[in-house]
Amino acid sequence: MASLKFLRNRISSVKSTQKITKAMKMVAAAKLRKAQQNAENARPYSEKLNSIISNLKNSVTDMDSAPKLLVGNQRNETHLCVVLSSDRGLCGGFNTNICRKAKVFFEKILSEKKNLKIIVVGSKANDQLKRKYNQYIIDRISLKDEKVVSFGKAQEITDKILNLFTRNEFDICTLFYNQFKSVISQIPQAQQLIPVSIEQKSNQQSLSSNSEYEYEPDENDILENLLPKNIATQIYTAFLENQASEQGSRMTAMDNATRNAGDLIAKLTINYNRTRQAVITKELIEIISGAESL
Amino acid sequence: MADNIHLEIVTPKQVAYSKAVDSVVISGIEGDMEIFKDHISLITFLKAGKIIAKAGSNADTFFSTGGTVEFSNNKLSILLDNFFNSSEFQSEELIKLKQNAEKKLSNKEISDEEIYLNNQIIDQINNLKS
Repeated sequence: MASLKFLRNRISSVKSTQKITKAMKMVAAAKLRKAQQNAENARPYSEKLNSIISNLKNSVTDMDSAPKLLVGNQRNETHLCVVLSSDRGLCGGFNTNICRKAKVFFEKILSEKKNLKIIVVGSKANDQLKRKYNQYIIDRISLKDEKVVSFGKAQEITDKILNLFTRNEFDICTLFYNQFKSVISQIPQAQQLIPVSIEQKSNQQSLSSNSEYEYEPDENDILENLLPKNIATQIYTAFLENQASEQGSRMTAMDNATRNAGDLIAKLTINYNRTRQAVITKELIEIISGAESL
Repeated sequence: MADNIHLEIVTPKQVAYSKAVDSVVISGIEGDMEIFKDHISLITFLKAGKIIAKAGSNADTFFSTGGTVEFSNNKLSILLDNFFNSSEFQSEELIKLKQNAEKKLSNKEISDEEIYLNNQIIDQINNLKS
């Protein structure tokens, strides 16, 4: 049986761990509220942009002269994957989930003998992917110096991607991020950025897309300007979703950790009391039997 | 109200403005225009300039350095890169945007269109200050 001193130390160490996880949970909860708010605020913008582009896409009849970003460059050889992760750990399966999703995709591409290029955002994805895919990683972007992801950062990444695209360094671009569903559920998502995939929404929207628009300047010019903006917006939204997911995931993980620490303390305390009682009993027996022998 | 158009201004950060107005003046990329009720459906870009939303005798003025405008079914959606209320016309951020534009202009490789747009940003911000 473990000694009393050992148990005492163990209990106090678990107690201080519990204090830390509890505090982290509180912080994550506060940050989550803010991140969720940010993600919700950004939604109308990306929805509007999406509906404008899908309207435009319907009106483009001449596919050959349409912008490359919309229709792709008709090849399917090199894939660029952008993996969004967090810079800090202690957030449960958050980073592992997104990396697992990405790895499945990587394996599929590699087994089809296609080229693979990876951009990792956040240090955790880098840590998890560099062992196996180091030779494919072409860029690492850290978010350490940013508290809240700004639109500027998303724009910066977009510029990098567009630069690569105009130099024909890849054909298809896919973005990996965690979509925030609820505090306990975050869904890893793979979203194709280039060529643009726009989900067709309800009938109402296709109705309005039938109406004739006046374009100023013409359709293709507008598309050429809007598509890069759309990519930036998508990356920005993904960032915000990712951030909300990270905090949500951390909150649940820390909540679990706090509860587990509580269970452990209860167990250790019982053990400690039993040991203490056993020591007292032993001493009593020693005293009594010593007295009897006299 | 049935007689009005609904103006909605959204930025990546928030829905900045959502109200029924009589008409809206915007500085489109090919010239300023004022949009009234039953205007033809329209998609265009904005260059740097003021956006004036008129409702009755009231007029709200905003400033932005660029964005996209969609008008259909008497609903006007303006997607802006950035957004300043009339109370923010002297803010630090505008100075930063101006410096940014000046930096871009010092790059010799940019296209004529970009030169024009960036000059517009600087002119308009200077106008606000005076």
